[in-house]
Amino acid sequence: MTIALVGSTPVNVILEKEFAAAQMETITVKSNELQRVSGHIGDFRLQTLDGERRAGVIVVTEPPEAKLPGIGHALLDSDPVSHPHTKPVVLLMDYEQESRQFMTPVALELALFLARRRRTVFFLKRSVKTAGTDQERLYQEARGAGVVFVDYDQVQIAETDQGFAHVSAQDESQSLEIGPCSLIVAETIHPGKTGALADCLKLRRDRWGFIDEYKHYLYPVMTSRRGVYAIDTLRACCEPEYLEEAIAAVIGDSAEQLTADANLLYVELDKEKCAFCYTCYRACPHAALTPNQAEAVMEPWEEACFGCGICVSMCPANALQLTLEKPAQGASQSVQIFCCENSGDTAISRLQEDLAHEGLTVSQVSVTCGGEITVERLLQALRQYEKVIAAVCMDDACQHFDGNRRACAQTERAVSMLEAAGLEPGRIRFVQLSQGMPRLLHEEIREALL
Amino acid sequence: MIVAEQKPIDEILRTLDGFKNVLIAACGTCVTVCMAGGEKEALKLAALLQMRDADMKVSVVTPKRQCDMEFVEEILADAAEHDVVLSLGCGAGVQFMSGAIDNKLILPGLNTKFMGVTQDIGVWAEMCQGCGDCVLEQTGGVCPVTRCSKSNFNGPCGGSSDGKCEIDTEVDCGWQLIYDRLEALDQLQRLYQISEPKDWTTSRDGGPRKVHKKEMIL
Repeated sequence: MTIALVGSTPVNVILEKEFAAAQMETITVKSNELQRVSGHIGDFRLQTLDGERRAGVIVVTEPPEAKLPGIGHALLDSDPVSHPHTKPVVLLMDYEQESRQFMTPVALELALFLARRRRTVFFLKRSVKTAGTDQERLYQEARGAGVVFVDYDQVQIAETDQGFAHVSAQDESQSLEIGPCSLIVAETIHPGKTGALADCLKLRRDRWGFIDEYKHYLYPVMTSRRGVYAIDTLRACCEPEYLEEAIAAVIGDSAEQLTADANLLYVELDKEKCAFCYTCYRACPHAALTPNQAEAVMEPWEEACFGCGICVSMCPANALQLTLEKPAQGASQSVQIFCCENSGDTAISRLQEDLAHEGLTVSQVSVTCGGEITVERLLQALRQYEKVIAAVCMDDACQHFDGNRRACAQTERAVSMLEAAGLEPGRIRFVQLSQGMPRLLHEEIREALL
Repeated sequence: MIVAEQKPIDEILRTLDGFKNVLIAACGTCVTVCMAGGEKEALKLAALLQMRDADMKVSVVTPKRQCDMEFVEEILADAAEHDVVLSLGCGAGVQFMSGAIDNKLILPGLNTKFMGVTQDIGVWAEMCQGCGDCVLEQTGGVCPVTRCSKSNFNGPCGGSSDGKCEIDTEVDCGWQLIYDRLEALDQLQRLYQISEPKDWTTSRDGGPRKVHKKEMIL
């Protein structure tokens, strides 16, 4: 199988070697030469300035751009780590928004290393990412070793003699002067060309514009589109083990995807109804719909579809349907609950004993994603049941990126329609939860039934 | 595309008061795309009506268009079986259906808003008022009739501030858009010519309009 490496970085050499060892051929496409990408895993067509290239899998290697935070001259002492002087060291994490996750442990480890060598270390930060494996331990150890952590709003750097810096940092009430000192400035990282590349490849980006890669439920290299992987080459330079994991993930996941049994749950299109309005094309988080210009209809790619149902709920012409509709379970006549299989579904399965013990029964409909829940589905359910509950994932936890928010919007619309029609709006309830929050769901069910 | 918006639910319910056998006619073209009157919207309304009154008979049909006889003919038999038709077509669709189905009341389910474009999922903006005498060549492709709240023809009024219109800070000043566009195209000389008062008889002022394409008519 052919892997298209999009972007050309030194890491490509390692990737080519590793993929060759796994009997995979690689082609390289420069990111500024890529114009359009169609197709799906196993059969991607990459339109480039040199014509069409084909590949089974795409790996993005274009790195984000690293920039110093506007005080480039401040990298004064080139090697404060090994330098024998005794001046304090300032680690400056000058991020306007949260840093990328891997920067924090790198900086913490460096601070700890220096502090253990009896250097005076100040760790100045505006906004760093603090959540992550092992970071709390590193932070505690660094504090224990004497690293001084300082939050600040503004910082000024001045150059002093012999290549040292003078740092003055202020927050609302206080100011801190350190100098002369050695200064280590963390890079700030911008999406750079990866932003345009994400648009070209139809990949979801996070709120900072990066190709989403820190979703805890995905392999670190997975993107929103099946068969397209993103290797963070900046991170690969800092963490060699990351590159190893990334290569293994690409090889393992693509092999699994390509040999998996037929995808049973996907969307089908009624060509007669399709208004060719592009709503599904714009809304699909997985780039699974492609326009068929000859017939003026959209076409779903079965191989790219995750069956999340977001397009089904968004299609104004009612032209899309999922191939499988899961039947309701449970004998309740009064409450039906729509459960996202990534949250509500597991939560309710943990409640079965408690519910049975209390004599509470509900009718449960499992949905692939909250994005499948629509106004008409909720209203239809209310014709049979007294109350309906939508139980979907927490904010930022949707595996299909915004299905939970869409479920929220659909529920709100259904409630407003009930209100306008003089019906009881409390008959529709909405709850966001994770798999581990069955108690919350228990409360909802109890309240709905009582 | 014709952009419309569904009437408030309570207004629709009031107009349907007393009818027990309702045909909801969606429309499969413009108002489907602007998510006001497609099959989905019709199904939502049908579910709501039946929730309010389980005895009410509600059916949904979706002709491709309500503004062409061949499509409307497809639903004549359905219409005959119901007491009333709630049309989710634009104003043109409702009237065309009224002409085609002369023994039934055709009720409007939408408020027809404007001719416009899709800006984003769920967002449409007005771009043309159908004045019948296009001047876009003078104004860099930005319509002064539609995009200026006062339909000014010779520059902005005194209410333009920081590129926004005095009616609402969310609304761009049409003349600012025209100026910026012509400046970017290096075509500002187009603004030196003073526009004479516009002849509005080609617009609504000339009464109901028709277009005859003579070579197509025998």
